[in-house]
Amino acid sequence: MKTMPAPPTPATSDLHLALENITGLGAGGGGVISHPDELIVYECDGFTIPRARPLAVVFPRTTGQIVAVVNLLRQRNLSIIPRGSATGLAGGIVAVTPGVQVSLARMNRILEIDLRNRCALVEAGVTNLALSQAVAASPYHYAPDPSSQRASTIGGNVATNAGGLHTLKYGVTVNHLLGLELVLEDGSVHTVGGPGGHDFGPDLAGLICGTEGTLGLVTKVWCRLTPKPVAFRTALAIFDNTRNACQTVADIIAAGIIPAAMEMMDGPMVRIVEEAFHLGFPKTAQAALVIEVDGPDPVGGATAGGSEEKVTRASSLDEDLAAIEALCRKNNAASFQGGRDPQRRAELWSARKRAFGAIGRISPSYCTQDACVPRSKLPEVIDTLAAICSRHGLRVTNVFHAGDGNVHPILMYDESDEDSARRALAASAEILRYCVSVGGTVTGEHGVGIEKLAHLDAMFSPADLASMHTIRSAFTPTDLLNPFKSLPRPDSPVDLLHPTNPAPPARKAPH
Amino acid sequence: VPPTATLPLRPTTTADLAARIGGAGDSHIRVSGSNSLPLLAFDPARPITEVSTLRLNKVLEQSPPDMTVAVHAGITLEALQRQLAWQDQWLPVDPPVVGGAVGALGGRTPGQRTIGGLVATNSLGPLRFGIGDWRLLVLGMKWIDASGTLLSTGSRTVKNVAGYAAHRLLIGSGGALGVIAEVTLRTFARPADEQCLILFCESPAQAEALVAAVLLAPVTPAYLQIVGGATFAANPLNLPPPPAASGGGQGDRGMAVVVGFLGRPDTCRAQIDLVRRLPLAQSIESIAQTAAQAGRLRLWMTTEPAIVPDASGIGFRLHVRSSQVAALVARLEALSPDLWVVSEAASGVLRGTLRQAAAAQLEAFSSIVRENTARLLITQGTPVRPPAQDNGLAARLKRTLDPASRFGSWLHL
Repeated sequence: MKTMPAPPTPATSDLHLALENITGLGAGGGGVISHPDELIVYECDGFTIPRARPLAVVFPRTTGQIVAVVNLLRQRNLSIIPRGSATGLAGGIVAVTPGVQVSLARMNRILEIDLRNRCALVEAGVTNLALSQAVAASPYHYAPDPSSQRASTIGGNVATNAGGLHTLKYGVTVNHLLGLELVLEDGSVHTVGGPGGHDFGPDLAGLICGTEGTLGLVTKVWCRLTPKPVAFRTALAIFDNTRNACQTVADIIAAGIIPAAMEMMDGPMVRIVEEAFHLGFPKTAQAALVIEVDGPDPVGGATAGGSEEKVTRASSLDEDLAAIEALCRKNNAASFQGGRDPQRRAELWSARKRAFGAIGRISPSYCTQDACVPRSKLPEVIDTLAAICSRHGLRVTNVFHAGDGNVHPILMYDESDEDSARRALAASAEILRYCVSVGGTVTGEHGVGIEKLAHLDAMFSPADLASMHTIRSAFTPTDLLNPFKSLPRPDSPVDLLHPTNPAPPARKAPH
Repeated sequence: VPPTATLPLRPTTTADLAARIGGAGDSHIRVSGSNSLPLLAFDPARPITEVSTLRLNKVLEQSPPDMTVAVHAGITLEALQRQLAWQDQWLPVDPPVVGGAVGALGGRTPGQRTIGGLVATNSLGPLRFGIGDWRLLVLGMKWIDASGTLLSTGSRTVKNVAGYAAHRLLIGSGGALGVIAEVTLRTFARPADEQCLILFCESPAQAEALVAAVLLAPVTPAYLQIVGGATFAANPLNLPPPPAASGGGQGDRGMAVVVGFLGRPDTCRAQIDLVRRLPLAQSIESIAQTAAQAGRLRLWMTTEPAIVPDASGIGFRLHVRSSQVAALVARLEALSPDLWVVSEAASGVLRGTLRQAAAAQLEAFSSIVRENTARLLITQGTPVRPPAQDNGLAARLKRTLDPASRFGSWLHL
């Protein structure tokens, strides 16, 4: 669903030169790109329906270069669009108005690892997995683990307050964010929080996390490091219908058990995953739950040295697993396999993290939704989502963070067929508003971007949204930072099917 | 803080609270719940409208299967815990006493404090380390801005990134940006047991080494405290004081390290055994405490540093890196025999009271704060000038959200 970008103009050529003249930015080549052919891959993120080319993309290496870029773009009244690895799923980096993407990809140094104080200072372009790998030899890791963790950056994770598979127990990005450095629209550099985290005063880092680069360009992040669990029990429960699987999730939460992760795949997804990874899933299954409990498990025998020793008595993790199995059986699980086999564990989680990619085998285009609902509502929600997609003539499958109530219905459509894309958007809208009606939210971890702008009014009153704009104005009075994202504006140029607007609406007057 | 001439307004509904704030004209709004920390200053030349949240004290919606509860800001912690206990759930926070010693004028026990006040002042206790952090616990909020408009932020779900998280902005803001009216919270299953291990260290160096070793061990403490030796000697449980190192001088005195666990009894016991088997711990005298004693000790650690200082003294809260805590506790205790200090060793938060202080002692206290680049909050007594901090963003937000400074201004930022 592509729209043509504005052709290169003298203005953009001049912009290219001006950006390259920023000290150090053009050095070595590739610090600035603005040729239309090169910009094609910068039209969208993982939400591929709306596309629009930025005027240029810059790749700064320092906070100072970012400040210079911001000052230049502000003087030219051009949008400043932060970019991590573009693994977002809500269109947060689409250049809906003329602007320049500021890629943090080259700000990828780990500046400090302080194991004693369980924290690390990283530049925003460090990938999520790289941080955990950097401390792999220690007892620590960086706990948020979005499926995109091989590619997604810490800065991008902060922008969307990313979750992941193990957030049920360990929390989302904001729970591991101690502080950050950010550059505002006026070029000022600020540090909020720090290695010790937040104590008193307004929790600015907590506010900024999840605002999708609309308040400032995050350049450095203080991350909390979390002890790696040393013992695991991983279970696979197969069900003949999704409702029973969802009821099991609700029952486990209600029993007060907090698994490290509790992920669900519906029948179509089970078959997609089985065909891709050959894990022995029954192809007749209508739902599968992958459940993991972890911990130090001292009763089970974790030693002071950190490794598991021979188990001589029932462990606390085994007791949790037994309780989970009982609840699965109560809800008529067709089978339940649980254990401590590390190879099986690795297979299951690898398959889960690669499930989205496997969908490409059966549909060239898909749109992933991200509503979150109270966990007790899951059984009815999953049924209703299927009915909505059926009504819109769309195939749908689900792989999601069931323990958090964070559903990810994946709507399959044909990108080359505008009607198909239109139906995908209509079904998405209906799904999101339905989830809000049962006490949920339109996005659990992917963010609003431009995709969900039209649905925030289901959750928030005009006064609520106006107050959020007021907060925004304290950071970015003229709304140059990733404009028209995250919060709806009545003058928004965003049309999900045709997002490019060569004549942007007037800027907001400075507050 | 100038006194008000009239009795506080006592709204009973959220809408009424918003109307009272909106209708208060140009006066300052001073919200009182449970007499939380004095974070705000008011212009003595302006009238003050005092609003109490104590009648906003209802549980609004509880969903035990979802482990969430929505409450009025004025509900007290103990009232909420009582309600949650019916479902065998709890809110895992153990904030300190505030306003002076329990029983003193204005003093409030941790249970008497309101949820709104606790959130607004980011008040937490030992459990902050293991589980109880307001960022994790607060899912959403209704709040009232300077114009008296009632606003919503967050949601009822455990994950949400829709809209700006103004509820996180208000955590720790002291009420200077808006008034918290309702809070939606995440709850947890009540643990079956609590046990702790007290280890008596001879020196701050030994305490620091022990804390570092515990943090590396495969255990999950719910709390990890360092209590100054002199402070610990006043404990009400008839526990012995930590030994001082032989030949130790000032700043090299004994201290107690308290490691606490929540969970199944056998899991707690096994983790305590594991801590005791750490190579460093084997040479340190230790005492294990079971449920009732551990709970009393934890409560004492939240209340003891709130001894009322006299006119020259101060109550304080400091925030440093975890690795600085042991040495800082020792240096502070060496300032005066009248100084009490406990710390959340892993979170880097110290709380204490300097009951009586000469000017030289206050200057020495300030000097220690500066040398440690500690964040300082004076909780009682005369403010001590904190080290310079970047408050640019907070100040911008204050000017934007409350341009007429109706909610007062921050004393400490």
